[in-house]
Amino acid sequence: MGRSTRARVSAWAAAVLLVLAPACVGPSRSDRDYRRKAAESAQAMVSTVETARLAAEVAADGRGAPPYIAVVMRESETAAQSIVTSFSVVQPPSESARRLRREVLTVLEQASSSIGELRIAAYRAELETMPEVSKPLDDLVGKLRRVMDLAPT
Amino acid sequence: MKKIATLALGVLTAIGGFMDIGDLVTDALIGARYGLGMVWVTVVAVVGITVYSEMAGRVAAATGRTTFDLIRERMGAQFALVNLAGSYAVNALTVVAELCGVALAFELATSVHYLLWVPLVAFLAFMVLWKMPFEQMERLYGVLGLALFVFVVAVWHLGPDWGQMLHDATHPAVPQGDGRPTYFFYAIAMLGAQMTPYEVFFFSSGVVEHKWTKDDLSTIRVNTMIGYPIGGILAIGIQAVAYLELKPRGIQVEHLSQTVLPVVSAFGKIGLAFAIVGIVAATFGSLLETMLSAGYTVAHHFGWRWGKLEPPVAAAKFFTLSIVTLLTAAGIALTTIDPIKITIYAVYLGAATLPLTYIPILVIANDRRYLGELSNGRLANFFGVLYLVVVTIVGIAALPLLIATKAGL
Repeated sequence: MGRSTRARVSAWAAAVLLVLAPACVGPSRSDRDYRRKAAESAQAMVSTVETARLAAEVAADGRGAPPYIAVVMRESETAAQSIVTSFSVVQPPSESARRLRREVLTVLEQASSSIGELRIAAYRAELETMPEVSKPLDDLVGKLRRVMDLAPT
Repeated sequence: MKKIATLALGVLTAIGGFMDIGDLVTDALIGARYGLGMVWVTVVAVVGITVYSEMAGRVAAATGRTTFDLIRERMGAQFALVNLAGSYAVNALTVVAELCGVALAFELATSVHYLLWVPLVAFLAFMVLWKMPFEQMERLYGVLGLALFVFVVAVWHLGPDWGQMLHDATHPAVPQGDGRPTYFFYAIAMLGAQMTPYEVFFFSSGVVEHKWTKDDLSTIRVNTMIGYPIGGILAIGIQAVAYLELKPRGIQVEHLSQTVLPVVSAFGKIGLAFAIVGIVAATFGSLLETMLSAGYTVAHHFGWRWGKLEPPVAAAKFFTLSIVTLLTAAGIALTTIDPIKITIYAVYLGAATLPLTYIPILVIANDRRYLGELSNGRLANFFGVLYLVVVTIVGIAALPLLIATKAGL
């Protein structure tokens, strides 16, 4: 392979790596790093839960059109499932991190499931039931915010 | 009266050109994340796009030729080709984002998945380009785009603490937990969203197509100096509603549906209707503009016959390229690539390539051989050079920040 060809191949490889790098999920190397990942997952889930809660509030008052509420809930559910998956595949580095994983994953999965119930209600146009269906999220959002506090300073 | 109507329509087109899917998404995202801490970026962007659009319009009016036509002659074929390649790539990426934006807006109204709307939206854009009277369509989406003012009205309705808002807007700070690189990554994204290169190409081409001359300079200046600042007010309105409704809840904007949620919270279904109409109008208009801009840049460079007012048969290469760009964009959109991520990348790369657009405009606007007495005065050059320094710094910093922040994560 000539020098210029090698240089071109290297440049393309570097460009591909740059594009793919953000998509790669690595293992956690320390408890501190694992806590950070847990906190970030909780923060992302808080965003999703609060979106669903606000949409549920708006829907219950009759302010939101059913197709729009259905889209919001579907997108929230997809986002929630993605957060659960992303956190669950991170390898905990220690036994204490493994215990943390169980606790955090439980909360994340509960949140995802509750949002799924909201999505079902939205697609059935049962908007008046949303306050009831979203009640579990009130407690879950508090738990998620406590997980966010685990972020190392 | 006719003159006032023409001016008003020109202003509407400028507003519509300013607001597109990049703006809608970036403003909401930044409002939810940084509150009003990046209003200063909008102010900077509005002044910048006004200065350079006026310059590009003045060049076109004085010479009867567009920017890309003159770049090749003034700065050489190699520079012009590099400029063309960069500009076309950003334009094409923006076409994908705008196409998805229209489809996403239809999804909000119908709950039918946006991917099913993509082919229909592409077909509509093709029909407007091929068959419909373009100027009337431009006026229609310009007027309908005013529905986006529902965001501005929502700010009032939500009853904010005006003093706190003013304080937050005038005292920007990097939030705790967010690094400076991430803050500046989003500042660049915002700048790119509001100083999009295609606006300048489209405006310059429009001046030539409408055969404006130096007698129409006042029209050019009214369009840019009123239209873009009004667009800036809209942008700040979107940031503000996100700041008021989404930020306190810790909601990070990842979907177009979240952009609209504050307006729905304020006004219910009527607010939703206004928002969707405004988004469809703004993004569909921008889709047409970016599609045409992609064709303009290449046609001007190679000296093809071009023009949205020309019959397609007469400007076959120009129309073919615009349509091929549209079809390719539709194909890319249908790969299910995340439309919000595409939008962020499009605005970010747009910011990174701003020097390619603005350097030639400044050089030509100072060339008395082309503009004579209409060449830049001291004020235009002061702002022109200042912004050139800004966009050059942005262009240099863009790629390292993209890597360092993992695209703002």
